[in-house]
Amino acid sequence: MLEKGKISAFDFQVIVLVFTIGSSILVGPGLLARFAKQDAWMASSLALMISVSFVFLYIRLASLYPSLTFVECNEKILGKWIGNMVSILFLSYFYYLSSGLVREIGDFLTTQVLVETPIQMIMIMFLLISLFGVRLGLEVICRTAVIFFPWIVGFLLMWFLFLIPEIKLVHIQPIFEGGIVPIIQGSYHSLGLPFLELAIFLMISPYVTEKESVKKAFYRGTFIGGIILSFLVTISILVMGAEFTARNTYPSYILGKKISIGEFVQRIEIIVAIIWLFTIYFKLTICYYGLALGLAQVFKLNNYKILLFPLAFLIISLALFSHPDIVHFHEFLDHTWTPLSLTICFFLPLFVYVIGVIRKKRAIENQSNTENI
Amino acid sequence: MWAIIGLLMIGGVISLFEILPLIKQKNWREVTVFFILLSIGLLLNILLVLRIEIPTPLDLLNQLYKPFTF
Repeated sequence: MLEKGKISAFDFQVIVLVFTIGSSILVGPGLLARFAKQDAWMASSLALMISVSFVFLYIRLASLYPSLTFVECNEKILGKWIGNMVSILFLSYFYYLSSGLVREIGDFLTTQVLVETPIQMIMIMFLLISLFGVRLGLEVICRTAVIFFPWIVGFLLMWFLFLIPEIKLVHIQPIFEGGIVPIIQGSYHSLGLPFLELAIFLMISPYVTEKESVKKAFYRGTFIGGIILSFLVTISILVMGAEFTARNTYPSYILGKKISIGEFVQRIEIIVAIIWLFTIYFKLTICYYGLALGLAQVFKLNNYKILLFPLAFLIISLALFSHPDIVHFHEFLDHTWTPLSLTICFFLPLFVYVIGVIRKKRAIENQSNTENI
Repeated sequence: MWAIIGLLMIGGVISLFEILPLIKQKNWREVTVFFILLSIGLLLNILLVLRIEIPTPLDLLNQLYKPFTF
C-alpha cells in the first residue's frame, strides 16, 4: 500500500465538489457562450445531466475492485503490458491537465493581477505549494479542502447576492434563437470541462473508508458542483450578455468588477478571484497527487513522494512550451479537449470495465466448474 | 549560462536530499526512475532557457481530433 491515509465520505464529497468547480469557473462561461450564445444556461444544465452517466461508469468501475486504484485495476484486468500501457496513457492525460492548470493560473495572474511578474515565477510558486500539499498526503489535502470549503461557499454566495441588482432579463432573450443545435454543440464541448476530468477520482476512491456512502458522495459532489457552474454561467449571461461573455478571456473576473452596491462596495474582484485560486489549487493538487501515485504504481515503487520533484520540473516545462499563446490554448480547449477527454476518460475506462466484468464472470464459472468435478 | 548552472544546481541539491537515504536502503528501482524523470525534466527546462523551440505535442492532437469536433 503506497498511501496509508484514509478519508471519510464527506471529505470525498467536498473534494469532488471543489474539483468540479475547479478551473471551469474561469474558462467555462466563455466557452459555453461562444457555442450556445444566450442559451448557454440550457447547454450547461444538459451537460450536467449527461455527466451523471460518466459518474455512474466511474462508480461501477471502482466497485469492481473496491480496494484497487485504476492503475492497479488495469494491471489486474488487462495484464502487465497492455495494462501498463493503458495506465501510461491515462496518466499522460493528467500530466497535461496539471500543466494546463498551472498555465491557466499563470496566464490569469500575469494578465489581470500581477502584470509585471514573470509567468515562470508564478507557476513555480503555485506548483511548490501544491507539491507541499501532495507530499503531506491525501488526508491532509482533503482536510485542508474541508477547512477552506466554507470560505469558498461564502465568497460564492456573496458574489451571487451582490450581482442580483445587475441582472437584466433581456440578455437571455430570445430563447432558442438558433434552435437546438447550438445547445447540443455547447454541451458537447463543455463535457470535458470538468465532468470527464473526474476520472482522476478512480485513483482516490479506494482510500475512502465508507465504501457504501462513497457512491452517494460522488453523485452529490458532482451534482452540486455542476449546479454551481450552471448558476455561474446563467448569471454571467444575465449580467453581461452572451456577446460580452464570449469575447472575454475571464468572464467571471469581469463579473466581479461589475459589482457595485450603492457605490460603496466596489472593485471586489480580487476577493472573488480567491475562490478560483482555492479551487484551482485543489484541482491541481489532486491531479498532481493522482499522477505521482499512479506513476509509482506503474513502476512498482515503495514511495510516490520521490517522484514529486522530477514531476514538478516536467509539469513546469510542459506548461511553458505546450501553448505558444493564449489563442492556441483556447482553440485547443474549444475543439480538441472534449474528444480527447472522451477517449481517455470515457472509452478507456469503459473498455477496462467491460473486460473486467467478463473476466470476473469467467473466473466464477471456472470456480464452479472445478467444484462440480 | 547562469540559468543553466542554477537549474543543474537545484537538480543536484534536490537529488542529494532525496536520493541519499534511498541509496543507503539500496532501493535501486526508485533511484533509476528518479534520475530518468529528473534528467528529462532538466533537459526540457534547459532547452526552454536556451530559447530553443520545442514542438508542442498538442498540435498533433489537434490534427488527430479534427474530425470529432463540430
